[in-house]
Amino acid sequence: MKNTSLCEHIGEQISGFLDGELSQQESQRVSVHLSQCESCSQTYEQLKQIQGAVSQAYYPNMEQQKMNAVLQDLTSKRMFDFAWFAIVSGVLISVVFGVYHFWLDSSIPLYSKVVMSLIWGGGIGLFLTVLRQRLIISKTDKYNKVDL
Amino acid sequence: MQDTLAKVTQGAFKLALQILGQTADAQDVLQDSVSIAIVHKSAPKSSSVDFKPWFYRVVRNKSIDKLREQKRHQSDEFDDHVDHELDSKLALDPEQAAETTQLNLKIKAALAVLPQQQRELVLLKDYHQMSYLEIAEVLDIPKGTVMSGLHRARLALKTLLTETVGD
Ligand SMILES: [Zn+2]
Repeated sequence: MKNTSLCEHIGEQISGFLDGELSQQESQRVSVHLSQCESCSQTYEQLKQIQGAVSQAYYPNMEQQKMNAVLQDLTSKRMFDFAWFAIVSGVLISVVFGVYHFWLDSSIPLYSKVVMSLIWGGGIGLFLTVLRQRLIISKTDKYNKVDL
Repeated sequence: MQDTLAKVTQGAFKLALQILGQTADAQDVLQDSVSIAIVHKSAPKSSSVDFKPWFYRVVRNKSIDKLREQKRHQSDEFDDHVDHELDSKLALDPEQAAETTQLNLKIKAALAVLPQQQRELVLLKDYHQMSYLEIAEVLDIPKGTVMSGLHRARLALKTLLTETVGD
């Protein structure tokens, strides 16, 4: 049977039909055409065969042990992140409470409040700088850390 | 939940293998991609349905990066790079040979000759059973072009297979 303009029009919808990706209306139109056109219905059958063969193609799994190691990485990294988050927020909360109580304590003279604040403020500043550097390293280093 | 995650990562490993042809390279890509999934804040939760296309996309991009890198290193053998690719696709693994039927070999050989994106379209649909919407996401192309591209790819595959059936 000769290709008609309808065949050209149907064209790629044969694949859409095969994959169940057409609207009901389109799918009906293709179905009617396939029942009437030998050439298109032959193409459809061939594509269906190819689809079956590709779906059965054999590709090996990744070794289970290796896959487990990779997935473990994924879960342990999550716990690591959570632990960091817990430590940092714990430290922040205790610092805020400590400063609050320290400044409200009337038995401590003002000059020692100022000196202690400077020392502690410097210490915390150092801690935050180191923390920030660690975070930057862990972000930029992500491709180097994947070796097991 | 761990089971579905393992299914997605095994599928993604095979996609990397289909693009790269070498088990060791595909494993590297998978490890890289998992570490990206860990670091990236925009990554969907590994338990959500959005994770699969997202992760496949990462694996696909990483695989193509690696492929380009390798091509650059072997650019002096450029002339016979199609044969080269075909060989590496067929000789995936010695232990696999036993399970490889003739039809399987033919399909893989024909797939190896297809242009990169056509091969990906066919494999994502027919091997990985993804919807057009998911395929569009993995390949970063408009959803409307999936059907036409896929159809062209299948027709090319059909021609290749009917040619080789003759001999
Ligand atoms: Zn027709």
